[in-house]
Amino acid sequence: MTSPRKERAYEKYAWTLLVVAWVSVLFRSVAAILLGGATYSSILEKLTGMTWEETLRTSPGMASVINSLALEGGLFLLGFPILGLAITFRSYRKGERWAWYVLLFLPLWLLAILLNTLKTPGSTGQSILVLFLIIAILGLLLPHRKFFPK
Amino acid sequence: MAVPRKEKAYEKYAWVIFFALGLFELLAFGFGYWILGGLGGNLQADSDALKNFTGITWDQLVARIPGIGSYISLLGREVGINHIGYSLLVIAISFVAYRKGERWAWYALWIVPARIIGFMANDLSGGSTFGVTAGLPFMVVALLGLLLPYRKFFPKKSVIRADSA
Repeated sequence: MTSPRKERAYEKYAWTLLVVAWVSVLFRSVAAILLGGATYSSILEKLTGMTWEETLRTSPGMASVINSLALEGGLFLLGFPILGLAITFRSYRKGERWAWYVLLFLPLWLLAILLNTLKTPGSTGQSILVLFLIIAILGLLLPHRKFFPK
Repeated sequence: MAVPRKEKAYEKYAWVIFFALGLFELLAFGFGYWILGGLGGNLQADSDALKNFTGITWDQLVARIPGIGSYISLLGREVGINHIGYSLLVIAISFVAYRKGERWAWYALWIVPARIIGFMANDLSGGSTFGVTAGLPFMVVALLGLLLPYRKFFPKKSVIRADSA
């Protein structure tokens, strides 16, 4: 007869690591909504030699294009962490296997964003992305046996 | 005694609405932006829109402000990646939790019409009515997806779901 499996503490609470990673995505989204075109001003300056304020002053049309695109990025991102947090709090915490598979999208998303910034010379913030990528991977790997018992 | 509740067809298959909306967004916006982002943002493909905003074409812009092409591409690709992540979660939640009638999924999927309102507001603030015209039918469809199966998620106290009987 198989004995019931006793959950270890790191398996039981690994979902909190995913919550931390999701909150970082939520923060990124809210920052883009609030700051608009100024969100990535340091990258803009490195790539074009112009600050956000200079862009606003000298090319207002261009600035509104950048503003709209950054705002759109933030708005469209907002749903991702909200749905991710909902899955984490409900199905993942309960140990439902489908949630484990679906939440693989979080490290994949972080990786895609990281690769996108690496593709653009002068981009910053990669170390933060790597940190949250590690946190997300740990959040998925630590409770692996909870979802896939022997 | 509580009577088992028989699910109506429009309640049973309402999840398909969100599944389809997620799939549409994944294909049309997710991959669309990502691919176009790699080529210089959606603006290069829609040079008229850029000209309306700035008075110059994409080629003139890139010549005037070196590096701006890379910057717009970065933003364009990121918008695409965001669409992909979000739409995959909508597809997954609709297919598993919403189909099963889990109440948290009903609450969570209110983000779909809310996001469409955000999209419409962003477009309106930029002086374009395209977002409202394009977003309104999707918002109606999303609201139908939430309201049609309302009783599946919130049954009357006197009845219980047939599958949980």
